[in-house]
Amino acid sequence: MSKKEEHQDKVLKEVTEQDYKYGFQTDIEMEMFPKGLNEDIIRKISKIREEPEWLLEFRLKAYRAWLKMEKPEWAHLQIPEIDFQDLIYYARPKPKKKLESLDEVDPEILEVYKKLGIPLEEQKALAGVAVDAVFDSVSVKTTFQKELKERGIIFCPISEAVRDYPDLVKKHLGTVVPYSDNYYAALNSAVFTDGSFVFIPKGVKSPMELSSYFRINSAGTGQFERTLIIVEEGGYVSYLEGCTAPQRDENQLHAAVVELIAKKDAEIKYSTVQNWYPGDKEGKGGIFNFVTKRGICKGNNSKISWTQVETGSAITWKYPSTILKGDNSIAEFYSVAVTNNHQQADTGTKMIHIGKNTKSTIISKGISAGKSQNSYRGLVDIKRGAINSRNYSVCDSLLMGDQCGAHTFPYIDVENRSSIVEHEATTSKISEDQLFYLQQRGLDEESAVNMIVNGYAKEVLNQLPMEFAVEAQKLLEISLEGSVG
Amino acid sequence: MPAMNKLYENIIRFFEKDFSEKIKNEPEFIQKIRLENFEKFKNKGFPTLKDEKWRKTNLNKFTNQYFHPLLHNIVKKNSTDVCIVPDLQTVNIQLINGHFAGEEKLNVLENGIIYGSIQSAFEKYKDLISRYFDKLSKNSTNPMDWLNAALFTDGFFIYVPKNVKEINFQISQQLDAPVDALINSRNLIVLENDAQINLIQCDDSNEHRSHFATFNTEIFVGENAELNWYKYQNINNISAMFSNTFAEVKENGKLYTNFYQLNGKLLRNEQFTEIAGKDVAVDHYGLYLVDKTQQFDNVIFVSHASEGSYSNQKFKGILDDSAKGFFNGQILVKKDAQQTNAYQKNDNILLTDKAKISSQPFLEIYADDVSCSHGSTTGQIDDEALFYIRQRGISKRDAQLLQLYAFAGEVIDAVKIPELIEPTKDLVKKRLNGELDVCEDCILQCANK
Repeated sequence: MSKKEEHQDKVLKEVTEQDYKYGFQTDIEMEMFPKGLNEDIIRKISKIREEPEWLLEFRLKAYRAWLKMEKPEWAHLQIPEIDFQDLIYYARPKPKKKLESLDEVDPEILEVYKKLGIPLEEQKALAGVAVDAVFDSVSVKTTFQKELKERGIIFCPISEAVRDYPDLVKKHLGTVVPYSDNYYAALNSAVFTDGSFVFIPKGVKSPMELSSYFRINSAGTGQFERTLIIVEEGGYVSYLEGCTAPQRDENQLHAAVVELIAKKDAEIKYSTVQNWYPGDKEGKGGIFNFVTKRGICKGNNSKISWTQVETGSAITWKYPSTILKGDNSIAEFYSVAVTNNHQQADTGTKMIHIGKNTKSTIISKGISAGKSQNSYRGLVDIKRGAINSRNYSVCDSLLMGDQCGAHTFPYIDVENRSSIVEHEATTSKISEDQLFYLQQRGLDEESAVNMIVNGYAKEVLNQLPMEFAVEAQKLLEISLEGSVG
Repeated sequence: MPAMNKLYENIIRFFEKDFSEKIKNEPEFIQKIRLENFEKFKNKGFPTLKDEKWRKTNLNKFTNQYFHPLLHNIVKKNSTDVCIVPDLQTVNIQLINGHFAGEEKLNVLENGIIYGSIQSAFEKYKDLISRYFDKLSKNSTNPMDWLNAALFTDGFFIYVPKNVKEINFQISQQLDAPVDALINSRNLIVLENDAQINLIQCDDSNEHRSHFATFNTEIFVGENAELNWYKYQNINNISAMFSNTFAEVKENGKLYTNFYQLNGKLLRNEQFTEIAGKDVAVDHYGLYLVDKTQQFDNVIFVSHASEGSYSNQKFKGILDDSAKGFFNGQILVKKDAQQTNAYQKNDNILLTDKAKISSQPFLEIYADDVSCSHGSTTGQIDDEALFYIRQRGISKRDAQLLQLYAFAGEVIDAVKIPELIEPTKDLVKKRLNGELDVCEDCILQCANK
């Protein structure tokens, strides 16, 4: 075994054998609805949140569609039966008086975040990060809003956005992920309780990374986040999402929906570090992460970049996707997915090319250990009008041990003659031309490969303000640098 | 609920009314297989766009049509006795509308090879057949396989005893119904240990009738045995043909296929290969040249159940006009199949903005000490190369053809029988040139005319 391999092994061992560090529960007074889902519950959710009529209609339409839908069975996953009537669809800390400063936040909640390493208290010092901290369903405290507001940036819980900017929300909600998109998205549309809303006005580049931490806390509650990010012409935002959850035996469902809208010349970077409780070594407990994330490059020259580091959850069903509608638009998907013990992941992306000269890149690295199953599933769809489009995909897998599985399910549909689509797996090869160009400049092959493949994802990940960013970086280092070349 | 359509309803009525009477004289195990598969087909019906592997393949054009089920071979024809490949000694098998067309229904050669009609073999070699028949296809979830198992009328049977080597078979399979016809045919090939044969097959049709044909073949390759199979498909542009093959390869065995899809409205080849012993070598090559409104599908599944084996899938396609192509390749490496080397490659060239290709190269791996890779590319003719060739005074069309021919070369170069190389090259050139028509005889013969 070479030195490099030994190092890889060591790091991987460290990461994969670690017990879940974030398992603890906080006892905060919770207000809960009874278990079960029906139109009355939805009306109640809507009412308690003082929502306008159109949103209630949206929820009810989604619920009625959901009733008629079937659970997706196509993923390479063994999903235990979920009793949707046995879940609680709304839980929030009991309303207290309005908070003015961080000092007024429930100290227990602050303590939770402290344990998680979330720099809520220190964030003013850690300049450049505004946190919309979501505790179960209701956003507890949003900071830095003032500074953002000066630039016209809106960053707030979606419930507030519904109240304060109803037209903006109404215009965009459900336009990227329709309420009837899929089973879990329909469920989310019916019962979503909170999430973030971001609006970047024309020409504004967000001066700081926006981040949001999701927590699942109360036993037996599902969490249905809804995130909507709109970036107007020429705007830019980088959004970070990180997740951890306390240890618990019962499986918990998380069915979020994220919608991104990038208008002309706009750019959105969306980064996720997902470190939810994966279940114990026997496969007991853990989060079911069934998430619909989709962005649309609506205007010309727009760009959406997804980066995800998936290390948690018992079952992951997640395909952050991009619709490249505007001409010359660009989409990227960088993913590192690690599964261990009895974890299962079926994750990947969809790149739907509609506009001309659109480009997409998919770099996916899967690492499976223990008795886990790790699948990449991705669609590259080049429509007839998407002339001169390009896609380059690499999906590599690393297997650790003979009890796990690593699978690759790419779907490639091309409908015009001027586009070039390349898909490779295991043997990571980059376009010979690019390599040749860099090598001509005196770089050796490995440096050249690293420069092309690695640079971008690393750049995004280095910004993650979390203690497990180190973990994420280690994984990325192994996955990208170790196996390429 | 099965999707209702004309063809489905006709098939159900036909089986329940006429066919179940006819099969009463067949051995019991065959009847059982038929009935079981019929029930499955009756419950599910034809595949629809909602079925994962059929999302790109619309059968409506055919399933809304009436096809007459052919119970007997109603066409008498002079069988092609001459070898269609010059300088090659072959054993000739001719099938017309899925029925074995030789004078003798069963033949035994000096070296012990048995070949002939599978229906006749059910009687005479009942024990032998019952050991193999439907062993590989019985777990299929494909309705086309159920239809075939329920309704097949005949097919060929080849048995190669131990140590018999270097025998060439020429199989001429012709669709030549006088009416629009439903044809279901079923073949069985058994190679005992250390046997080795080559199959050269052509699928052809008449020009004017629409056929809906399913051809299932089960192949058993014994230890250290070897089967090489070349197939050229050239049927008319109003017919659909579904050729599904199930193969099992034992220790040290070799299976090699090299298929050419040249013409037909809808050609779909499904290959299921199970590697059931150590040190097996499997190669599946395919070239599909598609134009007009044709659609050619390839669904390839190679399962590694045993260690130290090698498999390679290489499929290349050129799509012109409004043609469609579908490639779904899968490598499954089971837990015990360590030291597996498995490769898969699918390359496509689209010549127009109306042509469509869907490529799905899948890997499913449960063993860690393996070397597996897959790749898929879709692109077009390299403009710079085109310019280079034209600079040398070659017309644009010829320059394009040269490039396309070179692209196809990787599959043609894999042909291992020297006598077959030139005819294959000619065929591909003619097809690329748009000069390959439907031919009532074996296409290999027509290509030489």
